[in-house]
Amino acid sequence: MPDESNELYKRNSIKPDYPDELGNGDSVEGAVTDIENSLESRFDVVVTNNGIRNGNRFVKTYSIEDAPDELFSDKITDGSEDRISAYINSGSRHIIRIMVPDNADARISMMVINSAHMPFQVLVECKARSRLSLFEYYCSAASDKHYVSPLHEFVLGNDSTAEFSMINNKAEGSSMVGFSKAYVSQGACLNANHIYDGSSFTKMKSEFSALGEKSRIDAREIVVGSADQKFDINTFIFNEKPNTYARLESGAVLDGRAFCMLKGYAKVAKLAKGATSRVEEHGILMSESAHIDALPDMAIDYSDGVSATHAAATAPIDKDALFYMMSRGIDSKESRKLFVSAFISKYLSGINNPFARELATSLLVAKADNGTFGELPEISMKDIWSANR
Amino acid sequence: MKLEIDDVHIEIGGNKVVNGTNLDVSSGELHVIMGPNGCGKSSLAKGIMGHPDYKISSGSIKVDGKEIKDLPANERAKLGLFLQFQEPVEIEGLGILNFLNAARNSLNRDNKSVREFMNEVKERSSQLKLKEELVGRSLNSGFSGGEKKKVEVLQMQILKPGIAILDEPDSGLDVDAVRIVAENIKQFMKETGAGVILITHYSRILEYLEPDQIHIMKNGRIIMDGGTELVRKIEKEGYENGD
Repeated sequence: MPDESNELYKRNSIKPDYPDELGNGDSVEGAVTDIENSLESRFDVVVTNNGIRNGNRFVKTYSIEDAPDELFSDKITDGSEDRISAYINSGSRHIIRIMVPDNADARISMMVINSAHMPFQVLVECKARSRLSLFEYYCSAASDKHYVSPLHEFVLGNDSTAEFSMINNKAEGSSMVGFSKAYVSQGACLNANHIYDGSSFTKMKSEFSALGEKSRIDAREIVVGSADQKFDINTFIFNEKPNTYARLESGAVLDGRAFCMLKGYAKVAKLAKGATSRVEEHGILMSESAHIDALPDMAIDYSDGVSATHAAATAPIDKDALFYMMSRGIDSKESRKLFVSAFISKYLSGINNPFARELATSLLVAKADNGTFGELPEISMKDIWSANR
Repeated sequence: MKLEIDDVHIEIGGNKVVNGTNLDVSSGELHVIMGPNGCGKSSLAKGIMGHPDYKISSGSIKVDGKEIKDLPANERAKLGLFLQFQEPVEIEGLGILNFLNAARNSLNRDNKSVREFMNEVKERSSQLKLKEELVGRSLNSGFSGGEKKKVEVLQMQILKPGIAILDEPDSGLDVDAVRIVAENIKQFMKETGAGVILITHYSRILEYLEPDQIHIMKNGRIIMDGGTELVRKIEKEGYENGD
């Protein structure tokens, strides 16, 4: 991972306090019911400290003791990559296996809710020409101090398509420390969307590799922070083969004393003739005490026809844009909300799953409006849910 | 509605840009302000509308007798003022319709349903010869200069202010677009009875309008008032010899 060799990223890094004991946590069944009732929707998979509820045919779940050996032999992470990977690989109690067969079309929604530390793994394999839409919603049953630590592995077969969208709306006091790794084969497309809303502390590392010719990676991450929230987001995109496309778009909107590091790193291999690589990081500061470090970086081995660019811009909220909106009669608070919503929409518009997009929009707009997180806005997702099934 | 500007001085970052301007505008009147580049026309417009960087250091600005110089821009808009920007901002991700609807709801000037509102936007856009798909896009994002000006006029028509300040609605427009914009301004005044302050460098747009007064501004002050004969004088002699 770039952190291990990149001095800039090493210097700019927040170290988590990894918990010694995982604990069992309280029952969260009541909270699961409340959330599903509130949304008028039922998730396919619900992951808790006490077990996993699974109602999707493409999903198999294992406790770490019962997992078959081949699950481990097929893994693309083993803990040697990184401290976070090591922590999760060694500490997971649950493994969730998602297998999408050739030409199949899978849609999976997952709620992750825990009241004690919970490292777990989601191992995804999409066979040739399959299609997957995976949506994960992270929330809290209580505002206890706990970690949620997901590890994701994606192996995309030839010409397969996978959309992965995750929203973190965990409550104050919680931390998200996660790791993702993806291998994208020839002609396959990965559309990865990370929405960071909740938790007092978030540290996420992702490594997306375009390993097959003409494979494509579109990664988007949007951080909306308030109060004393801290985010350390490190995403690595890698063009290994010719005519691959990898793009990372990161955005952050911070209010209060929130702090965010966006570390988007791109590498283009020498073999990757005709590859396209893009890293773009944009931030908006809503208060004088908020702070964003946008640190894009690239390593390009020369090859014919490579197009590689990176860009970063962070600025306070645009005074002229606010004046423009206010000159039309919209008050200052509503103008700020509209401005932030517009900024956020650029990142959410790439999500094809309407349920994920609408829920993310509601949460982030509410966050921009009142700064709170870890709660559900009063919305019904019933119609969108039905339409998406 | 009446706007009274009395001996107004405006500063930006400590620099004086408007030095004692007087102007009264009432409903139904069309006032034109002309002047050389940098003479303070746009600063006056932004100061009237309440841009936070344009400080009114002295003088008064009243709407229907009420002092507004300490009010935020949105309150001034609610009293009936509107500013058409010379360089409208681009806000990617904010749809024109959403924005206009938010503004309409804030101003609370009509009780049109959303469908009626949409129909009016469609009709006005057609009159302005704006491409239909344009109003479905983000506010001014990637628009040409002419399209931005037309969208500003569209906003004025939808929001129906009592007095509109139009800051160079004709700059950057081709001859046909100048005529279309002028005709829409004229129609807006006729339909609503609103007053207009029009800032321009060129006489062409005035061929389609009937100004009540022309004001020549120089060095931050209005130095001359008159009728359309002033336009001909300026065209002939320029601003250098205008005082």
